[in-house]
Amino acid sequence: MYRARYRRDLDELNATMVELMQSVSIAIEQSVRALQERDVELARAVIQGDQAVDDMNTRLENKCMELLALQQPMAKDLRMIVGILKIGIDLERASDLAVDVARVAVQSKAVLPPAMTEDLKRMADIAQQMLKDVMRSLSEGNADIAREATKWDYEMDRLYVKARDNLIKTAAENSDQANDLIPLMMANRHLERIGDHICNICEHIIYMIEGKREHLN
Amino acid sequence: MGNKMESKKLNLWYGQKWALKDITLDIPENKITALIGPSGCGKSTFIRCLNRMNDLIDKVRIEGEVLYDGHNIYSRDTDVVELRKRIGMVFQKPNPFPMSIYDNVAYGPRIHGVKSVDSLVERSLKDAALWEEVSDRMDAPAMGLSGGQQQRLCIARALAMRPDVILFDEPCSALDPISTSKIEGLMEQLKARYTQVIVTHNMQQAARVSDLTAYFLLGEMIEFGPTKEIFENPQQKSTEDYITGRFG
Repeated sequence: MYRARYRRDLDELNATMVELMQSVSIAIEQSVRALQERDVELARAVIQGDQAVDDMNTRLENKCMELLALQQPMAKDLRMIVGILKIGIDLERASDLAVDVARVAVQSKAVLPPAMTEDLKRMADIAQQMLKDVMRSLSEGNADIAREATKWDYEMDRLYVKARDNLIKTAAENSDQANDLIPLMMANRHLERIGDHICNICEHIIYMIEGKREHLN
Repeated sequence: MGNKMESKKLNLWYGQKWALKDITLDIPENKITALIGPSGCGKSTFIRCLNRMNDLIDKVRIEGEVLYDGHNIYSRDTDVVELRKRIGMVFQKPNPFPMSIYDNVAYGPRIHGVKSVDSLVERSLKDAALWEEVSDRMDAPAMGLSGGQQQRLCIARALAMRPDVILFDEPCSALDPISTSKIEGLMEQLKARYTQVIVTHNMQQAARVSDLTAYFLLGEMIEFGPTKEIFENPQQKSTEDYITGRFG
């Protein structure tokens, strides 16, 4: 086997990135559940967990820099390392946004309207599904899976607009709750932004697999 | 910008061994074309076809064409000596003549009847980025120069013949990184006036210096294209396997 250590390092890099994706996916799910169930403990766990995500991303960056400096990767290896560097940035931002949702769960006292609870849960589910598709696209080396996954972002955007309108209506009808509803408005926005970051990740995956730069959303 | 040289369905046999198989490749003017591939792939054989250096080897048979400014260099009316003046070559190991620095550069022009060579020697050494290091000791033996200086002297010697094309066969494989980077910088400077072809085992070097890269394997040219594309997103699996170190 040529360059066995290098190959092993690339495999480990890939595994660390998948681990990072899984951590972010869990953080997204838990932040929304904390908001739905008013589970302050769970929200605090998400906030604390962000440090681990940041550390993992730093490890990922360091390994990428080491491989670039020492192994002079080319072609698909080079695309993979550059892609992972960029994916790390988007995952780290998605994790920060999940933390922001969790902070809303800690701070806001407003009771979520039931319809909105469902919509936010649906947004978190979609984000998780998109990340699952990303991981499958990568493991199967099939960029079409990532291309297809970006289409879910339209549904994310639709749900965002629906929840936003719902909140505006609720605030108009219950002006005494307006201050508490604003953080919920923000949480809704954070989830929509998470969808955008996962779309970016899909574009990086397509580049890694096919060497094509596509702007899909 | 057109092609300075073109090979068309070029085949070469060393006795029974089929060393080059139907190589069709354009070498554009004022560009650096790199030839890469594992040992025995035919890249050095190919570059030696570009100024008929393989004529000197026994039992070599060549079919196909190599055009230089549209003229087939393998046609009967080609003056091979004149051809090698126009298409100079720099080899893997620096090979200065056992004479002074000055005479090394002056040798070629003199045997071709050039009487006054002082300015030509100076210009060639300046173009080869060696003048500043040797101008105060032109009578010193060339063998006393460092390896990197000797290689630049060989480049100056080639430039003194006022070539159109310079062929580099592994020009840096015997040099340290600083000398290598001087040669690479020199190639970049020479690009404005010369067409250059380089055979290299060092893929990073091909990536750094060349505009176009051709990948050879087992006597065939597998892929040819802009260097950026070959090293970022090659179209052939075999190219990718080679440049990522999966075989070679």
